[in-house]
Amino acid sequence: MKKIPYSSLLHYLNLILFIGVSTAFGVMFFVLQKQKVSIIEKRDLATFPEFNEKEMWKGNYTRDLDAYVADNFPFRDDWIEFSYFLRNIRGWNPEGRVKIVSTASPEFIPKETLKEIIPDSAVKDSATAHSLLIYEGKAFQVFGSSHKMAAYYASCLNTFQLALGDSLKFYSVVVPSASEMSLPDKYLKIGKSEKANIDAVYKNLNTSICKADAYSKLIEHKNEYLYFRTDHHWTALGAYYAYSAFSVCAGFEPLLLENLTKKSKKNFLGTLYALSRDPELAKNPDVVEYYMIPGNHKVTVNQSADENTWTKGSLLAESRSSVGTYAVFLGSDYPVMKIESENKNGRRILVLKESFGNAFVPFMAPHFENVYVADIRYFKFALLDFIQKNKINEVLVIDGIFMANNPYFGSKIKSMMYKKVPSLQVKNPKDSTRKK
Amino acid sequence: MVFASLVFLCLFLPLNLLLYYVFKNNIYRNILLIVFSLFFYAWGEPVWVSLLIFTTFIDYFNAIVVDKFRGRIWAKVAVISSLIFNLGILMAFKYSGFIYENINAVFGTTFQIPQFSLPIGISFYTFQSVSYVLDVYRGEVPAQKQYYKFLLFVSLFHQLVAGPIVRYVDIAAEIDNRKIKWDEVSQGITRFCTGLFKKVFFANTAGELATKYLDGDFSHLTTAGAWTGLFLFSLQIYFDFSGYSDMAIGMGKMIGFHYHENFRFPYVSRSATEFWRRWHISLGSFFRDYVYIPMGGNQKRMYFNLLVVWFLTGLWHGASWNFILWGLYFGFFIAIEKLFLQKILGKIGFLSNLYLILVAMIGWALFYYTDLHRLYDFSRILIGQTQLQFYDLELQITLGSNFIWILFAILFCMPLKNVMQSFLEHRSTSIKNLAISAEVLLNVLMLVVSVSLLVGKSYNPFLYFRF
Repeated sequence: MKKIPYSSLLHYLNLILFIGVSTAFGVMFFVLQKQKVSIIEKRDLATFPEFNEKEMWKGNYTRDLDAYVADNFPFRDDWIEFSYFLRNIRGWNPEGRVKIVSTASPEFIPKETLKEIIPDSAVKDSATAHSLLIYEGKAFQVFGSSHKMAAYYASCLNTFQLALGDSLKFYSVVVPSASEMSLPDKYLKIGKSEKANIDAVYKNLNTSICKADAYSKLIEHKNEYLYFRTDHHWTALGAYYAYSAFSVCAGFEPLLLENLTKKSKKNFLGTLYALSRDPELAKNPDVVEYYMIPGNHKVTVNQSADENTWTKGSLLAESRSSVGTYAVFLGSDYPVMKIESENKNGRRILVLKESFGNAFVPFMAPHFENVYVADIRYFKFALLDFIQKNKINEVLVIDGIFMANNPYFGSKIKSMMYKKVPSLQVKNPKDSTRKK
Repeated sequence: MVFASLVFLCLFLPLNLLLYYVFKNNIYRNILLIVFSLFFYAWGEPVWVSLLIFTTFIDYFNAIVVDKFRGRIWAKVAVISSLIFNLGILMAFKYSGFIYENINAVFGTTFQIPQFSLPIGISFYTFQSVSYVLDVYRGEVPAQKQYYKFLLFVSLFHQLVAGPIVRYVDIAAEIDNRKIKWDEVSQGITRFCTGLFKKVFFANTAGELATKYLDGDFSHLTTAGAWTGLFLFSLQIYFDFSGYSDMAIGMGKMIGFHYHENFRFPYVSRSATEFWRRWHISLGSFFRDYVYIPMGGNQKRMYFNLLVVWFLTGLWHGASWNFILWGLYFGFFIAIEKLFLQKILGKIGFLSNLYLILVAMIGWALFYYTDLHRLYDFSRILIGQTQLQFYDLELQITLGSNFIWILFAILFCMPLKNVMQSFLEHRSTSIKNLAISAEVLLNVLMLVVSVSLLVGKSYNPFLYFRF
């Protein structure tokens, strides 16, 4: 028998490996069980698209199929892990341990929608964070918004406040991000000043709105654990200092930290870790600390389209499976939550918030008879009508600085004042790279 | 469908190859390729696949008429009809908006600007089709009598959407009769994996990094940042385009087709003239053979001919003034090289390479900005007309965190493989086998890295989503 030369064997091997590897994944794609949700990404994975002739002709059906395959690829999590490993070895960091990660974070709202909201070149400046700075095992969002955005946010709040009239007390809190608490000056120069931006918001707000100076209070305590290292939110302690700044506006005596029982959950890797998958961050996960609020509170939530359907909720969702995450505060971003306390002082406040408000709200509970907590993104009712019906006599708008500078939030508040507005739907972004 | 996608890599291509190798009959194999190709095209362009098929019908008949009435007036009519038809659909789909815009701008008219979406690959396949009719007319090749074989030539998914522009003459014989040689199949796989890796690992990453500088807010862009952006875009466009060509050539080899090289390490060139002999070769030779030489080439009115060719080359890349500028810009350098510069470039060694890199990079700025105002602002920053410092910390950190990747990218622009081959030429068989083994492993590695980065692209953690 003729001996096959070694080099030919290698050629066959090349073919077998190539077809073998690619076919194997193709087959496994069909055979393996599919996950439905990606926990770390906080989103539902793409499902098999329903066939629709119209969409097919537009090319959307095949695009959805592409997304379906990518989202349900065999061993997807491991591939992603590996791809981030590859990202993280692309270079070294001559500036100590500083690293900039450009995040593939999807547009929060499509540019077209943005343009409808403010038909202005300022759209380009909107503050969605496109890069993260990793410094000494902590992640920071680079803030890059303009004062135009700050003024826009203020104008929306002003409109809302004017519609309510001066008989209602109105408060505003804009929460800075972690950057200015912990980053050395030279790195802060990469982004823009948050302090100046908050000042710009406050300067533009109506005089009858009380502006709580959370910034100064936080800066005073900047060496404490105010923000998570791996998540874009603040800790309960950070929220506590903002709450004590708010108490000056709202006129109550804040609870004293030393009187509160503190509990904690370990090993929290948050959104900024999810975005960067940076190994430095993973080495040092966060601890979620939370304080038990004294007194009995009846907490209910409304997720329905009917204003009278309330189900049970809680200030601190200790037993939830997602405990150990920021979700311990209020449990989730419910469209609206109602907290009734034993304090029958007649103060009924509406808190308009996004997730930054969640760590803040529990502290407020004992000072008000009722606290209504509405999430700007998901609130389903007409705002002024809701305020009137529930005899609300105070309003607090609290937003993280990135959200305050994202025109979606201001415009949503304005648009839902008189009418019901559909809640935010975040769609999975599509890969639109096509060759011509 | 695109090559650098999971559906293509793990479903479409392996299925195509397996079926192809199972069938032994050439007719079945050709039909299989047509079915796959039309499916491939319809995946991204479900409506305009009809235009593709229609084009092939028209030129199939045109070529037959040319063949039959050779030397008579009808042959000319058929060629002209092919030109009018192909250039007509290009005009309608690609340039009509541009033409209307300019007419409106010049005459102050308000014609409605047509909103066609550009059918994928139209610039490539119309050129392939028209070159076929022209070649038949010139008697370089007989007309294809069987329609499906001509359809195969035009629609073959290897080169349909991103080139190279394959000439019918070059693969006519292989359409009828081709052999699978396993060592070539293996080479094809290596080539494909290299191309995929160039696209996914280099081009996509470069693109992601480049946009930060090129598309960002110019009031924060430093001069060094602008040059970095251009450098990254130079990498992106080279790896993207040549990666696609590599994949096409590789897939051709896997089934017995031999396409010409489309890129030969253009960034090692030492003049603009040489650059265009190494960059998108199939396009350059198309314009050379069908425009430049018929117009008289170097023999008469050379500078006018250059002007026309480079105007058209620019315009082919896109319906916008910046592409025309870009084409003329290269035409200008090629003209002055012919005049006197080539002699100087020949004497200054590697400095001539720096000259070319500078010319090419600045060219990419012209190519990148379809908005001429933005191009102007960007150019000012490039030459230091900015209040900012030369570079900033952000740039320093970004370059640092991608340093190793950048080194690899620069290395991959160079003809490493040729160096390797000449090194291996006089070595023993065992060393050669060792090299092939390494190549096999490297292919798997490149495939795995590419798949992982493609899966990674679907990773979209939400910051603002409900938890």
